[in-house]
Amino acid sequence: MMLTGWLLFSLALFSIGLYAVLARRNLIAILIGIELMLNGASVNFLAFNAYLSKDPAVGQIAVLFVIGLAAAEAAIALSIILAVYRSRNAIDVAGLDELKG
Amino acid sequence: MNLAWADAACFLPEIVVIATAAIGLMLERPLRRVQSDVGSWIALAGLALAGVVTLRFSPSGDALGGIFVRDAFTSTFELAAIGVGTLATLLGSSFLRAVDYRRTEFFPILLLTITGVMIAAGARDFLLLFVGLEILALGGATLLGFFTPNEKSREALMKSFITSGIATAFLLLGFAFVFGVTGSTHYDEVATRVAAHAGTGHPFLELGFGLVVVSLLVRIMAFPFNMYAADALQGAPGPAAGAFSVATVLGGFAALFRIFEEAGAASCNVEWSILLGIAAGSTMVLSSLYATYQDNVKRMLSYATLAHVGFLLAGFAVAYSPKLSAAQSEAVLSAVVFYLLGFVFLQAGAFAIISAVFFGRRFGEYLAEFRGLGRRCPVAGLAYVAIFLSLAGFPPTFVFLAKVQILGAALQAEMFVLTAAAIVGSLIGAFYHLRVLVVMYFRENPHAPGVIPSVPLVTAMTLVTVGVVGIGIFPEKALQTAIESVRVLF
Repeated sequence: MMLTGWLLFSLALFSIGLYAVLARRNLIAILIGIELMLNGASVNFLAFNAYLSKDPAVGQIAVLFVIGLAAAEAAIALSIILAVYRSRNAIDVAGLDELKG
Repeated sequence: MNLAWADAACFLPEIVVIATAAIGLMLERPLRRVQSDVGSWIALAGLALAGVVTLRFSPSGDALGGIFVRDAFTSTFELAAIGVGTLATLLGSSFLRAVDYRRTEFFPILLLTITGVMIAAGARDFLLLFVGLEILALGGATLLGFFTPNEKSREALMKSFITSGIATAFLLLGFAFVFGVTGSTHYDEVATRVAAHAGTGHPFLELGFGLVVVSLLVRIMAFPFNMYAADALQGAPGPAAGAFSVATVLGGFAALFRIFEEAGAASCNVEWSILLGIAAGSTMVLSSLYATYQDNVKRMLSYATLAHVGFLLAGFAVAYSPKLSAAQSEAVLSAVVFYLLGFVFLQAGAFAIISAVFFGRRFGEYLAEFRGLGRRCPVAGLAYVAIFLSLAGFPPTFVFLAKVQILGAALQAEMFVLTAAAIVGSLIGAFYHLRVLVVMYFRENPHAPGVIPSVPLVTAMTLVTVGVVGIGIFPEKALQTAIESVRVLF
């Protein structure tokens, strides 16, 4: 039963993150949303790893990869946000709609 | 499992490309002062070496306890990636000459992006595939936003970055569910456990593979994610858009092939042919329709890219129809790989066209700016004709051959709606590509500039033209390569 609890927790994290990405207009909030989604998936990995896996290392290695990736992604995202801020003095997505059609 | 020289030898092409990127990054600072093409020469030398290594010196076999495999499939995709890298380096060199000489970090980023494709092509473990796809996604996003002084480029970067972040999270969640059921991330073990569940199915398994496939659909820019992709490709600098579009499609399809054939997604209790068929059909028809009313050729070509992706995905969907025998599926998958090989040249050509006319501050991308180009630059005009006819899929180009094979298989699989969608999409495609050629040859604009007379651009265009025409007239070699690379998966 513990596994179900952890799965629900990870799903909640993931859904909150997805909601933040889709609903928030602020680029930092969107970035945090993406990180939440990644963390939700990581918790999922760890829960399965702890309760079901034969090899307890695999899920933990996966999460280490995710942490490394999240750091790289945050670095790139923050540099984009800085570039956007420098040119427009604002960091919401509302103005990023020049390309369409 | 210990790291031995044999493992390193398996990774030799990747190591060469990464080392070249590292050298390029180290020399970026000093190269800023000397205004030259040295950055692109280093990249070209590294890519040439990687190509030779892939063809001649790298052994086949498993590496790192079987999480990476070098076989015909991996090598084919690696060569395709190296091809993209070479063409994009040439285009990028010409782009930097026109815009800003000093930004030589373009080449290392490009090299790292194609490394992502190379790793994803050989990965036989979810974790390595994840790493490969992420290198590809982060590198690709950086490429798209490469020329950030441009407002549009920044928007392209932002849009693709958010979408790719969501895709990453879906991929990971999917892997977690599959891992939960199978207890492993290695394809062989996953496939064994999936086969054990084949009759009854398992909800987590279907959910997991479903999430993975959705995420890979984002990577290959298929419906319903094609709208962001058109924005991203239009906003990015031409060479970067070309490189990104091919790299992400190659990486996504390599992952799809291996996950379906080797990780057992195909034997999962899901009607893949219908789901993927819907995505493919919508991608083709919608992209083609959107492309028809663009007066911006760059956006039109971005939609054309997506239409090709739809066709590739249609081939993939048809292969998993239960009505086809194993041999027929193998044949249609070979056609998809053949199409992908030509797609490398096609995309490089399309985005070469976009990076060829320079107006001092920006590149010519509106239809009106192509007026009379065919008469002003007769030689380049021939290249344009070859590229546009290939994009439109006229015989005797390779696109025609690949499309005919895929359509034939779709008819055998009795997927009539998809066949109809494919034919409609192709007919619309013929129309909007020919429109550009008409403007080029039958409208006049005496004051517009011609094609930039730069050596790298001319080289790239020549290679592309020889490529698209060559594969069309002598398809045997490429077809053989495609067949051999698909055979190792079965």
